[in-house]
Amino acid sequence: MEKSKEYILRYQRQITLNGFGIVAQEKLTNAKVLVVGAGGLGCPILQYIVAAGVGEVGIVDNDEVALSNLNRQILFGQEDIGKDKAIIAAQKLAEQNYLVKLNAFQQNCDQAFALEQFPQYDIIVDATDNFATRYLINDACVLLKKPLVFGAVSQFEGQVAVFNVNKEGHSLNYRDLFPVPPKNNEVLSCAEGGVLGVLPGIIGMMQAMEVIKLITGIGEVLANELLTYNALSQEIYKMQIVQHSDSEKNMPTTLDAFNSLNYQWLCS
Amino acid sequence: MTIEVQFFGQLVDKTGKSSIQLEYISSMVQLKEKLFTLFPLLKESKFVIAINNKMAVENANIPEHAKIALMPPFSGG
Repeated sequence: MEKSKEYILRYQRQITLNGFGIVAQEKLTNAKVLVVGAGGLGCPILQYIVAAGVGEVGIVDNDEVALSNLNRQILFGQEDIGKDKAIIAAQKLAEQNYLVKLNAFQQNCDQAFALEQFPQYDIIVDATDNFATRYLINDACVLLKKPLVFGAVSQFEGQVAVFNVNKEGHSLNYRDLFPVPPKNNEVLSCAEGGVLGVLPGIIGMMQAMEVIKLITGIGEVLANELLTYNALSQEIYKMQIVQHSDSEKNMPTTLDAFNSLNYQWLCS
Repeated sequence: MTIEVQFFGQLVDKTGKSSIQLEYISSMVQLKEKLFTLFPLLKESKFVIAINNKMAVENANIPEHAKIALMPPFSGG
């Protein structure tokens, strides 16, 4: 299809890149990405994939904007406090790039939502802030065979990984790292442990980069690897993930088993 | 001969250190026992162990001069 002059101009700087070109740009235009969570990780992910021209972007979040969000959730401002995050995020992103189709879901990502919406997208991005939703998303992506771009932070450190992507004959997921969810009181949340906005910004941008790599095929995707970044030392540690013998044992293997799992209870 | 053990995330708070050097230990089981003796708070923590940047199985052998990492799950976002 002949692309408009405006389309070419808007994405010119990335189309110009060696190994990218109009071919990669059109792959982005034809892609659909669902970002779960419009918080510290979700905001930069959304801004960068929308700016880059991913054709259709879904945003799911049930929260309202709070004053304590503003140090890191850079899509939101003072006037947005108390408003629905998914709706406001979609409005701001539409101003950024009107060529992108935006779908706002102001609700929780529960089993029914995952089973209904995940199949509509090519890639799912985990930008949540709790283990209950992280395990739910992981298990849904395994069952539905969807690539999952994972990101999480803890104080000054962050993790990034890409799951359910076949690399050298193996397709691994979060349960290969941690077969059973930790209890909520075992691990600090951002509310308890604190977080400097720059850190989820960096981790979110790494996730956005993995999304773009997955779609366009450029570079080497972080599949079967866990990257850990330390903001205080600027050091990156990468470890290779291998299949865990307890991974499949703990995974719901059918949609019925998935639906009957109580993820909130598993993680509390 | 020594091995280096590096701690990530909240494990640094629990051990008070980001890394330590240990006398060489050849088995993972013994390594865990040693770490639990040195840092009892690790017993209640969830983590995965990597040997030389690769996730290790329960009964793995530890090569000489290995770099070990203890990686906990992160939940924030």
